[in-house]
This record gives sequence, structure tokens and C-alpha cells, in this order.
Amino acid sequence: MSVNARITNISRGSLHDGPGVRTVVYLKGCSLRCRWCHNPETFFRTAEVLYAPMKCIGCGRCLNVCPKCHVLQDGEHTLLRGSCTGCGRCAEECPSGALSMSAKEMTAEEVLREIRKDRHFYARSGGGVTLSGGECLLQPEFSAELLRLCREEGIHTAMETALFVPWENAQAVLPYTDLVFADLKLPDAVRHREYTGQENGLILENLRKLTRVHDCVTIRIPLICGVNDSLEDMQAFAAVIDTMGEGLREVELLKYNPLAEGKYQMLGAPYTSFGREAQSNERADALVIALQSAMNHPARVFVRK
Amino acid sequence: MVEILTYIHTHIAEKLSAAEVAARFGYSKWYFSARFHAYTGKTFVEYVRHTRISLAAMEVLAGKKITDTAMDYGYDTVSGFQKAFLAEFGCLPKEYKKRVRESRLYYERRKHSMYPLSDRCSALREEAVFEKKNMRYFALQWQVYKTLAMARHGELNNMELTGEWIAEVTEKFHPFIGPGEMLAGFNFGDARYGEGYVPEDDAESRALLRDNGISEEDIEAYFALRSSVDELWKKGPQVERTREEREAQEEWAAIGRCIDSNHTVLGYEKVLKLGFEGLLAEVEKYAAINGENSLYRAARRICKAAVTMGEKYAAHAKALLEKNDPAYDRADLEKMAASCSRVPRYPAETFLEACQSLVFAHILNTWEDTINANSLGHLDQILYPYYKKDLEEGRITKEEAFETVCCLWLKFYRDYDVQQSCLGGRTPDGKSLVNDLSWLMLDATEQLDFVRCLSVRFDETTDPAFLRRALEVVGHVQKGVPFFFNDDVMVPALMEKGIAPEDAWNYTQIGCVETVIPGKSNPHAVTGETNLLKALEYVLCDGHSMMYPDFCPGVKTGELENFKTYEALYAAVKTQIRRILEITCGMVKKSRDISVFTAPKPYKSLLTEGCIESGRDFNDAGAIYDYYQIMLGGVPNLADSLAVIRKFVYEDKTYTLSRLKEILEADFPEESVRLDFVNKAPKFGNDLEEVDSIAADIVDFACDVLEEQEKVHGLSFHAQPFTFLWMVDHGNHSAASPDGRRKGEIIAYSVSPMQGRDFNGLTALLNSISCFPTKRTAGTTSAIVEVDPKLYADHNLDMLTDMLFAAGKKGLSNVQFNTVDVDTLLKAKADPQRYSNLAVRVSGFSQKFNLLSPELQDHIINRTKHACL
Repeated sequence: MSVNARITNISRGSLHDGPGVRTVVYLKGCSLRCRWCHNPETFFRTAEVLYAPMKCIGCGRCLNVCPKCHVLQDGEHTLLRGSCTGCGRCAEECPSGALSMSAKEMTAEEVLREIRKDRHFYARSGGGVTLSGGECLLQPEFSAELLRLCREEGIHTAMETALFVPWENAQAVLPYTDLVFADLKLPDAVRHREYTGQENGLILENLRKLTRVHDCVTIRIPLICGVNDSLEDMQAFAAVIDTMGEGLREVELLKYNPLAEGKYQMLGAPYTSFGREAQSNERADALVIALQSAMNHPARVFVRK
Repeated sequence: MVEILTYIHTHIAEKLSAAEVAARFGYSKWYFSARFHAYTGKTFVEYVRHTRISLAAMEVLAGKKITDTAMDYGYDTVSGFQKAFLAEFGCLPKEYKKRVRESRLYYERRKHSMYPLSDRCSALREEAVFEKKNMRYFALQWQVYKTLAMARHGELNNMELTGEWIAEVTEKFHPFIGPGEMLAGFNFGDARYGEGYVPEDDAESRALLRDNGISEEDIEAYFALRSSVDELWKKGPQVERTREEREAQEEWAAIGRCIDSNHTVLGYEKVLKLGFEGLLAEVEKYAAINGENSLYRAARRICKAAVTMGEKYAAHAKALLEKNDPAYDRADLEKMAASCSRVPRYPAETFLEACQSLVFAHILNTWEDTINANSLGHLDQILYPYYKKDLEEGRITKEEAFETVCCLWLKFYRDYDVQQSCLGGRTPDGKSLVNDLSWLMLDATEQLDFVRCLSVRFDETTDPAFLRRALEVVGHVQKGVPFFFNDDVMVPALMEKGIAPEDAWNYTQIGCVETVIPGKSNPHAVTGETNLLKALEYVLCDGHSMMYPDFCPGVKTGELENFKTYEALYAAVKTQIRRILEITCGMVKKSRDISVFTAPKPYKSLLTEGCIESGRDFNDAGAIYDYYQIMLGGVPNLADSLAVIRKFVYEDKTYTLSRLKEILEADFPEESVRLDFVNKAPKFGNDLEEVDSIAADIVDFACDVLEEQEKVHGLSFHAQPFTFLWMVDHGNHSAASPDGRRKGEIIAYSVSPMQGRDFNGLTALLNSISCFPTKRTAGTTSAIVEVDPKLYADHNLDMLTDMLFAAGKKGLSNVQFNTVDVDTLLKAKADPQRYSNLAVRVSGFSQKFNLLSPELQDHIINRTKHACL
């Protein structure tokens, strides 16, 4: 029996999501709504229409298949999202790629076929596959199946999760996962709710369990300008990290990504900017040192520049 | 205690307990444990665990499988083994392997730290790249003395005339030594006054000629004679071109010429080893055996003139010494006088002499038929024995050798440089050829920071540190050098063409990416040129060109209604491909027969094995390997077009072939249809089997046809999927194509994807360009990959290195990297002055961006830039 999932993207040749050259599979649907998220197209489980006005040539073909959602006035096309059911016929018809669907339904085998194409790169570089999202643990059956299949073929497996899921979901996938990237956004429950829509109690509880049952965990902290990137924030992170088990090997700080705006536009969703630039390399280094020295946990802290 | 430890080591895979070992050696358990701890600093259990995992780790590093290692070292399960590993090393075995490798690489790289550019070299660089004052000194002498020699010896046949003018130029030119120079000699200097430059008969030109040391008398004679000397050149038989040939050539579908000049790599090491005196003796020997002929006379004349070349410079250096000019360093001049009084007459003894001799040998080559793509070959190998000897005998330091290499690089500098040299590689028995000089030459390229046309050979066994360093240089210099050739496919491809293994393993490159066996071959680089995309036009228009409907160079493959299936259509496309290649090869053959007569090359013959031995000229099949490279252009566009036709005409049946033809003839009246074709069918370059397989099959079929043609013409044809920069002309003369390419738009470079159509990432792109039957394309399958400069960041380089190795394993033939971001390119286009040293890979060569046509600039801007994710 094959298991399906909605995949927003399969990104090949990634160098920063685990060891070696990797293929990253992005699953759709997330239980958090981080205001800085740079993959907003993965928020919902259902696929929505993405619209890139720059690419539109005003040919009006979308109107032919769906006059309800598309308006063309003086060559200017407007997408009426209110009446859109996400059927995807306009995207199928659109010649320029201005209209496209945010996700595609795929079976684990289909995804595996894509992953296999870069096997020789994994073999040479020690790379493999990384599941990401969205929240890949919201589709635990698929994630487990895909990683199991990869394992069978000797492909290194990793996943990135925010862990805001029932622990059982994680348990289903962990046996097939060589490396786990667990996101940690804010140490404080109230602020966590403010910025992500949920408190972090479950996340921390899962994280503590995870670092005790899995032996290769990396915590990833996205540095959001003015939200969690002060030296004091590092103190608070350190206190949380110290409660983690021995399976925690590394803590990676991720510099702020200011380039997400385009995707919000394509979704017709409001965008909050937390700054126009990423933290400077010097700033990032200072945060690494602050966090590392505040931690009692032996995990190594690092940042990619 | 030693016996006890030995016992533990030999029984490490078994279950070991302190009690058992103590009993075996006759101790009580308590006493044993205490002694053991005192001796080793560890408890028995700790010691065993540590030893076991350390030995196992060594096995893992050596490449043993993890499951086997776990078994052999007494671990019950793989996960138990991994746990133990994690406890000892803090990571899993796989990661451990990688970390160790990384740290080794790091060590290697740091150990090898770069020397700074010396003041002398910085000054010489300024002069060569920007000032170009000294360049003009030699610029025009070649023109004048060649003309005068030809006029004086008009009675000679072409062969002897060539020998005569090379000799006279050699004897007559005025030596010039610039301040700070370690190596003497100029070839053409500034490209402005180089090979193609013909001075106007005006005051300015006359002043320049005078400046070059040419006498009034000679200047007068030159202007009087120069229009008539061409007539002294004996013409060959006229070629009769068929109508098909004329038409195909006119629309750039099939061009068969015979590049009979300036595309060689000669056996310069012969000059280094024998000197021109030694070479002269060889000529005499074979002239005695085979009987006197024009080649021997010309070669002899050149050898005799060449021995004086160094002496002239030696004398000039001595004269400068006497003048005591403060601009010159006396020690430099003394060294130069000493080396030039020995070479190129006698064998080189020292590294400096070898470099000097090489410069002279190369200059003579370029005097025979200009610089262009006359290349240098394995410089790190040719010069290595001299370097090693000097180093061993304490004559030079490594740093001095580095400076000499820089000076050598400066000697070869040109704005448009396709004088290739090649680093690394390996011997047929697997010995790496990477040596100190290979590293120093990479360093020199980085430090001088200009386009020195350079390539690196690699195969599965290449030291990753070296390949990594070469990639780092690409990233640092950002001018697309060096570029990379995969021996694992190139060597088999050459052997397939009948080249002996030891020679195939010694291949190197000319100019852009053309393959050559140095000192043993006449490769006729870029001789045949095709645009296979035209095959589709001929099918759609029943043998006619769609671009120029009056032309009918193709085969009449019939009405479109007859192509009921995709397979039938594809068969017709193949018929047209065959026609294009037949025309090309036929024209090559005809041109070749003329060039035997019109383009004798006594100097090339002298330094190409087989010629002097047989008494036959280089261009008369004298070389051991005589072959013709046939370029296959338009492959990605044709594959993309066929994929579009398969989908829209045969699968979805959205259009009939006739309708498609109308759309193409009208150059896509509806943009939405063009975009359908662009976006809704698979495109080459994205690792999509359904279209990559078409591209691969086209090349495979072309190789078949070329094999047929070899039998027809008795010539050896090497397939070369490469367009040089003629993708511009091919595109300009092509009608709109189903891949969404507009009429006249540039086609794809070589086998790189059509610009902007690859969007699946770098690994996908590398897979696509590795899908070709590269073991059949002896002329190299070339691709340019555009990458973001950030990909060369230190922490990515190992992975980039791994990618290159992995792609090599998959069949990658040649890849060149461009490393400039779009922003910079756009700025450079707007402000050429500010970016005057910015260079990019255009084709098989790098060129300064501001010297490119706006059309080519846009082409490069539009190529997909692969960033790190």
C-alpha cells in the first residue's frame, strides 16, 4: 500500500540541511504559524493557487476554465481568492507559470524515485534525504514510509521538525531517521504563542524526550531580528538546552532570511518583515559564543555564514 | 604486560573479561586489575572498548563496510557498534569518515600555503594587463619581416617559403627585454597589433614601425610589397562545392572547413631535451634515411635560425648590463644572459632555462601561423624534472620557482587567451601526475588574477585536495579558470578512436576544449561545425530550410501527414542529421585535400612525432594521429523541441504537425502558445529522463554516422558536442523552434541547457550533462555551469568537490564554471569601464565581459545561476 502526501517542493543539491549533498522534501501542512516563516505555502494541508503577477501575460486562458475566480481588465489579471476552491484547473491551463499550485500529491515511491536520482552524489559526499516542511510529523505514516524506503536503499535520512505534534507521531518516524533537526524558536511560552500561535510546552516536552531516545539531534534556532536574537535571549535558550538529553549534538543558529516576501505575495497573504537584512557575521559569531558559554550542555553551537 | 596487551589485541573480536585474561596469565583478578590500570591508565573494560572501536574505526576509514566491521569486531548488532562509535567519537561511523577526510583536506590545504605575488610580478602584471607599453615592440616586426622574406623568396614552394620566413623573422627581429623580466621573448604582444593587424600606410603606422626598430628601407619595401606577396603563395586546387554544401554552409547548418592552423600542442619538451641543435641532428638523420625533401629543407632552415634566437637575447642582455640602466636588475640580466646563451640551442639544464626554452619554442610556433589556440600542454609535467633537479641541488627555492611560474604566465598573457595548458592527470598505471608545480601553477593563476587559459584533469583517483584547490581557484579568481576534464571518460573515448593507451592517458587540450595528444597529433580542431537543430527544419519543410525557404540542403523526407507516429518523425530527423553530417564531412575532406597543398607546417612537423620520421608534413597526415573534430551544435534545443512535439502533437494531440509548422513559420504569433511549449514539456538540463534520453540518443546517433563517414572518406572523425561561440550564428540563422525558441534567438551553448531552462538544481543539471555517450565523444562534450560565487565558500568546497567526482562517475566529460552573479553582470554591462577586468566563460574560453557583444552579454546573463541552497 502506498502512502500519499502533499509535497510543495523537492529541492535537490542542498548543502545545508544535514551532511553532504542532500535532497530536501517539503511536506505541506504545519501546526505552527510562525510570523517569519519563509515557507508560508506549507501552512495549510490543502493546496492553494499561487499567483506570480510578474509572469502573467494577460492571455485570459484562466478565465476560460474558471470565470468565477479570475478577472481580466485592461490586460490586468486579478485572482479572486474568496471564491477559489483550489481545484487547480487555472494553474493547469496557465501557459506562463504565473498561476501554479502550491503542492502536488505524491506517493512515497514517487518521491523516492526523485531522491534516487542523486544517489551517486550522496554516496560520494555522505549526503542523503532530509524531510522538511511544513511539519513532516503531521504526516507520520508517509514520513515513516519514505524514510524507511530510503534506509532500505542505504540513503542517509534526516528530518526537520518543529515537534508541535503528539509524541506518537515522532515515535513512528524516529526509527528510520538518522538525524533530527528540531526547531526551537523561543524559550518563553507566552512569547512563543505570540509569534507562532502556540505555546511551546509540548515542543519542549517532546524535545526533551527526543534528545533522550535519539542519539543524533540538532536544535535549530532561527534568529529573528528583535525577537530572539539578543544576548539575553541566548541565556534563556541556554537554560532550556541544558535540560536536554545526551542525544543533542549540535545547536545551529540560522541567520534571518529576509527574502520570504515574494512567497507571501504569491499566496495573497499579509507579510510581516522583521528586518531587511540578516544578522551580520560578526553578530552571529557573538551569539554563538554567548549561547555556547551560557550552556552547560556539551552540544556544539554553530552558525553558517 | 606487553604480552597481555598483545593477547588483547589479537583476541579483540572475542568476548574478553578481566577475570579470564588474569587467570590465563596467572594473576589474581584484583592484582591484575590494579596493575592493568597502573600500566594503561584505563580499566580493563575501558581499554578493550577503546581498542576495539579504534581498530574498527581504522577499518571503516579504509573503506570496510560498517556491518562487516561490526561483525568482525565482536559487536552483536550494528546499532551496538554505532552506539560504541558514538560514545568514542561523538558521531556515527559514516560521519566520522567524513570528518576525518575533511580534517585531512584542511590539513593538506593549510600545509600548502600560497606565496604572495612578488613586486616584480605585480609590476609586470600591471604592464601586461593594463599598460601594454612593451607589447608594441614586437607587434609589427613579424608582419614586415615575413612580407619581405616572402617577396625575396617567391620562387620557393609553400613549404620552403614558410621555413624561410620563420627563419628570417627569427634572424631579423629586434630583441627587447622589459625591466623586471626574468624571461625573454615576445610573440605578438598586444592583440591590437597582433596577427590580424595590417598597418595603414600613414605617419602613425610608420612611426610605430620605426619604434619597432625597423629600418626606413625595410618600411618602404614593406609598404611597396605587401599587397603583392599574397600572390606568391601557391594556390591549391579549387574546391567545387555542391549546391547542398553551399546552402548548408550559408545558413550555418553544416560547415566543413579544415582548420589547418594555430590549433596545436607541440612536443615542446623535445626542444627542452634536445635543443635545436639536437633537433637539427634528427632532421639530418631522417633526411639521410628518407632522402632530401622540402620539409627537411624547411625544418633545417628553421632549426638553424632558432639556435640564434637565444644568442640574440643573450647579447642584448649583455648590452643592457654594459649600459648600467638603473631600471634593470643586474642579477636578472646576468641570469638571462646565461640562460639565453644556452637555450634554445642546447638542452635546458635548469628550471629557468627550461621555462626560457619553452617560451622560445612557443614563439616560433606562433610565428608559423599566429597565436590563437596554439597551446602549451602539460606544463606541470614538462617542466617538473627541471624544477625537481634545481630544488634538489639547491639552485632555487620553492618561492623562486613560484615567481618564475608567474613570469611564465605573464609571458603568455593575452586579453583573449586560448593558449591552454593542463594540470594533473594520471599515468596509465594509475600514478597521479599532480606535483608541486601543479599546485604552484594554480597559485600563480590565483595570484595573478587574470585569464590564464588553464584546465585540470581529474579521475576517480585524483587527490580530492587538489581538485578542491582547483575549484577554490575558480571561486577566487572568478574568471572561469581552470576548467575540468574527466579522464575516466576522455581516455576511453580516445582509445575507442584507436589512440594507444599511453597516448590517450597523455591527452591535453587546445584552446577551448579540443582534445589533443601533445606532440603526436594533428587534431584539426573545430574543423566540422554543425547545427543539428536544423534537422527539424528540414523535416518540417521536406528538405528545405524554414529560415531560408529557397534553400534545400536536406533530404526530402516527405509530407508531414506521413509522420503518423513520433517514431516516424524521429526517424526522419535522424535522416536529416545524417545528411548534415555527410555534408560536413564531405566538405572537411575537400578542404583537407587543399590544405595539404596550401598550408604546410614545417615547424609543427619538426615538433610532432611522425612527421620528420616519415618526411611528411603535419598537414599531410604526417602526425602519428591525424583526426578531424566535428562539432555537434544545437543538441539541447533539438531534444527539447522533439519533447515538445512528442507531447503536443503525438500524446495530447493539441496541434497537428502542419499547424505546428505554421506557428513556427510565423515565429509564435501567440505568446501563450510559445509559453506552453516552454513550460509544459520537459526541458533538457533538469535530469528528466524523457528528454535527456533524446539528447543522448542524438549524440549517439551522430557518433554512428561519423563512424560511417570515416569509412567513406578514410579520415578519422571525432565527435565533439561543442559550439564554440557559434551558438550565436547558429541561432541567428535558425527559424523558431518548438522548444519555444524564437526565430534568430541564440541556441544553447554546447550541451549546456538552453539558457534559463534549467531549474532543478545543480545536481540535476550535472546529471543531465553527464547523460551523453561521453565515452564515444573523443572531442569532449562541453558544458558551462553557472554557479553563485557563494558556492565556493570554504564550507561548501568539499561538497562541490564531491559533486564533481560524483558527476565524473556518472559520465561527465568537460565542465566549466562561471562564477559571477547576475547583479555584477548587469552592472558591468552598464558600466564597462569600471569592470574592465571582469571575465566570464563564454565558450571554451574566458573573455573580458566588456569585450563581448551585447547579444552575448545577454546570453550569459540569461543562463540559470545555480546557488547554494
